[in-house]
Amino acid sequence: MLRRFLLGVLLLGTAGYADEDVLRPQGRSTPPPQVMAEGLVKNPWALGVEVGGSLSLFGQDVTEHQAPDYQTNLTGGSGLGPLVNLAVDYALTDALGIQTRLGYDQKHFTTSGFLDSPCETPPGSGLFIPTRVEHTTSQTIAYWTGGVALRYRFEENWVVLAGATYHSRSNASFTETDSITSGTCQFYDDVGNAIGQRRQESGSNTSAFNAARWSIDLSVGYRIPLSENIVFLPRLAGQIFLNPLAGDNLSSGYHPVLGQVYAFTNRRLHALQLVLGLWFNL
Amino acid sequence: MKRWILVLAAALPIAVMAQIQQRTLRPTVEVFPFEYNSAADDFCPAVTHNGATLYFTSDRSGEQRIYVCRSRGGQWRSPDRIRTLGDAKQVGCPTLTPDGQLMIISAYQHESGSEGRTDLYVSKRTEGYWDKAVPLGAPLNSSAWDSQASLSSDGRTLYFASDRPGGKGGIDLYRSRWLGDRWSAPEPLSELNTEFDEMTPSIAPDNKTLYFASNRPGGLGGYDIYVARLQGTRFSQPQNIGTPINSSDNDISYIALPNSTTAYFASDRAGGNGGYDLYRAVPNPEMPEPVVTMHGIVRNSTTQIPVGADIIITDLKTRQKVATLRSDDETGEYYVTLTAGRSYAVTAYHPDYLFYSEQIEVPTDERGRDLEKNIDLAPIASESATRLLVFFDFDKADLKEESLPELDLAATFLREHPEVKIRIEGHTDDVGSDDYNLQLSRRRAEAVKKYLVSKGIDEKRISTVGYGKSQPKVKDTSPEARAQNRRVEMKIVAK
Repeated sequence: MLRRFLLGVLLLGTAGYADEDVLRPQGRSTPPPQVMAEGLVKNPWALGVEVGGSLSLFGQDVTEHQAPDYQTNLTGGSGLGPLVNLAVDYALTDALGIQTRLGYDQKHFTTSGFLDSPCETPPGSGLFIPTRVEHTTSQTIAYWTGGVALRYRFEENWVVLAGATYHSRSNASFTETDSITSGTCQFYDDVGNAIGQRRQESGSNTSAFNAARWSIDLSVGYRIPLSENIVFLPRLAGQIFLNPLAGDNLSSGYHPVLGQVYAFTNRRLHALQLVLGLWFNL
Repeated sequence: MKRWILVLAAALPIAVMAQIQQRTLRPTVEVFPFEYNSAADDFCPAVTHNGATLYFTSDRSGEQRIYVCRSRGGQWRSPDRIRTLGDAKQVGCPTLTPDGQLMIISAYQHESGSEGRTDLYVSKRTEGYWDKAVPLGAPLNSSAWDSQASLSSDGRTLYFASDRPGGKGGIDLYRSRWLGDRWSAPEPLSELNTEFDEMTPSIAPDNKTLYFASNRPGGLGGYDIYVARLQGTRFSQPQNIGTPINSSDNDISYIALPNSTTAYFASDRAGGNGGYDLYRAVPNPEMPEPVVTMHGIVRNSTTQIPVGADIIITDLKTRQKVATLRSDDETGEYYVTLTAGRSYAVTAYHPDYLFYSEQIEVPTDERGRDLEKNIDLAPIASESATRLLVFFDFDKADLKEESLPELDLAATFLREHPEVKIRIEGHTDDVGSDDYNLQLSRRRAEAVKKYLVSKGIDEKRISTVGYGKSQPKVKDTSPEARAQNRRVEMKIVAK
């Protein structure tokens, strides 16, 4: 029984060689001496250096608890950040290949909106005047990335990639700016001195963001041979993240009198990327 | 007995001398391996007639695929795989029209369908890429194995290999002719076929010399390359092309380049990279007859941008289209093989331009020459003009029959552009009186208008004028200048 099975496997393995071809009606009796798939350049192996930019698309749900006139226009924002990758492509067949990629990817976005904030005037008086404040948050989160993708080359020069990327948080920083745009209310420092109608705060908030994120990456590119051994491959990628950018922020907008006025939940960030790659024969 | 010895003694030196003379006359053929051979099979070379591009088949990727090398500074650049021909299990053995704009390939299990097994397919070059190949269909293709086509330089005869029933056994050679709208039923080349295999046929640019491979007895071993020449409708007795091209191993896929001493072939002889490898043989010991070639660039006359235009070459004597080709969409280049001693009409046509026609004389002593003819197409706009290739008897205004294809083209142009109004302008040379020439030029312009109206063109769209000898193209009295000045032009007056 085992012998019959092994014979069957053997016959199955050699059946492909007996198929006819354009040179021999009965096909070749032996396999081609060398099976070498053509990759992005010529050889099966290619090394790629990629630079580009991520257009981060940030979104969050803003839940109002106490103050219905609070603006909800902090629900989204976008911004551009740089990226750089080092990648290796290995051709499994002439059309299909596998790529691994290590990189540095900076996500940056800005949210901006108007808030109707109660202003205690004068400080400590307990009298609150509704005041309109323009609030802008500029956020940068840097990741070390590592990914794997399947590469499919079709027609002569079109390439599609589908894969997954692991993002390991490196650091994060923010800049928040508040500007009072109506009334005479001012901001005050910690000791009660008026500091004007604009205040800005910057700092690191690395721990506010999830340390690890996974994304599904889909991209389409066009291959432009520059020389015998170098190919230029610009591609447009869509990056869909599977887990949130950060945990829910339920304490935001906490007011000593009104209590919790709003909360940030479902904080998500996806991205579009334009990546310019130079691929070299290995 | 003594008499026989004497006869042999006399004959032997003659035979030896003949052999020595033959060896002396035959040039020393050198064989060079192609620099991009792989460890897999590399075979079926095909070179465009201008020698600038080499196509070949290789299974270096595990499947037979067509690769292309372009020449730069006399050196081949490394091969690129052609990926646009469509998905198939095996693809290879291309043959090209001389202009390099049409390719016939062989494929097994091609996505476009087949008559059964390996079949012949055709692909057109569009904007620098090869279109997905489509099957040539029956009767060229059969349920048997049909492969390895070779197209004659006029694009009208196709040779290929097949193991279909009706041959002499094994793989045989077949020929089919283009009937204007379809290929004829393939006929076996019975004078070349044997019960053994005959394959990889290649018709040389002279359309007379056929190279093929056969494993018939009497060769050097395996498949050998043979050459036969067309004599009337049948080929001569095939001759083994000999060493060093043939070897004790398999030697196949021999091709000759036009007006060149270089030939390419494939062999699995020892010393190669493995499997079949491509080789270059110099000089080709069995040269085809030299041919006249013509090349040039089709351009926009205003911007000088290259134009991909349809070009028709018509033999003015037989009034038969001898070639239909297309200039390259990207470079505007075209290339055609002509027969010496003929007069041709060269017509270039593109829907966005006024068509262009010119008479080309190819004298008998031009054989082996390469003629250059650039074509400038005028965009369809007011005041754009083209010379009509029309012919009149001396001193008469009756259209000669060879004018009719050109006027039919003018009628087609006017039907396709109903917004266009034209003026037919007649011109004469400087022989004769002013008044007579004026009248003659008017009558000739009228004759052209009358023909176009008979083809259904509204007469209100056509005006005529005769300029006599008042507007010569060339101010000279030589016969050549006078021939240029005797002309009828079609000018767009309103669009």
